[in-house]
Amino acid sequence: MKTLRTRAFGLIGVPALLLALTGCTAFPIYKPAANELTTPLKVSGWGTITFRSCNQLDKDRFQLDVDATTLTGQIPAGGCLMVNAYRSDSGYQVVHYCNTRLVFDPQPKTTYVLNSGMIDQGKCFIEIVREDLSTETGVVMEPSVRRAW
Amino acid sequence: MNDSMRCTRVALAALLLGALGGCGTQYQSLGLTGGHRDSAGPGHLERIDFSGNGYSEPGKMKIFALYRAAEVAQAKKKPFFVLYDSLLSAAQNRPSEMPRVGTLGGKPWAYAFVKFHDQKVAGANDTAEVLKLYADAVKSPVVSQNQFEPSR
Repeated sequence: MKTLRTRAFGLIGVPALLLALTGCTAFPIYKPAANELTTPLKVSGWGTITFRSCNQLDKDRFQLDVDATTLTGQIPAGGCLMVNAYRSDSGYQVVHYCNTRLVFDPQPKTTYVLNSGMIDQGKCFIEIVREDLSTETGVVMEPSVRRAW
Repeated sequence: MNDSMRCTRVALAALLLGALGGCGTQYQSLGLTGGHRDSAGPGHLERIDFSGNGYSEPGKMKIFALYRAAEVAQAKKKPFFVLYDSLLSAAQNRPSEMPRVGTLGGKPWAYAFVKFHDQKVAGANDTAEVLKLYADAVKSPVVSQNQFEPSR
């Protein structure tokens, strides 16, 4: 019995401990209520995208539910939102991770595009623009984007 | 199968794996060790990614992503293409010279957003020129970015 428990810790405990140490916590997938105001967020780039209302605590974050075909998820609209991108990479018994965030005020009936990735060594970034197919590239600046605290 | 044969096979497999693992990612479509991946959008753009393994040079991954953009342009019969190394650059229509590259855990990843054109526009790359300039770079395992940087 003792051996089984030890093995179970090896199989479950060690990865769980590693996840806890890297700050990687699983957040609930966002499922908007029937009457909730939402707007689409397209995801380009990598990472797990989480968000929360600006007046909520970090622990109350939701994970963006991204459709695998359209790479689009729904976010709450009409208020301030803090958006977070996280990515980890493990190898050679070391876990590397990068976490970055920003704040903006998504409006209903507007499609936003999020991109996140790496710049140089180990530094990551996040950016959000608005989709506007009337322009040359089809994307325009989103004026409400600002640095997260 | 006797024990010595089994040992030989295991040793050969380990040697092969070691040899494969010791090389940076070659120019290829996305596989276990990395490679290129194209995706449509956002807006009127396409996204080109090239990811490498822990042995890959970041500068080379940029060249691979640029070359891939030219290949896609050629497939679409577009003689010119404009690169944007971020969505903010694209939103301001500010073309970039090269894709952006970054590393996590020593593994580089280059990407760019691309707009294809029938006519030459400001900041556009010539599809045929890029394909010609970097043809050797995508075949050679040892070239670095500096050796093949175009003179602008």
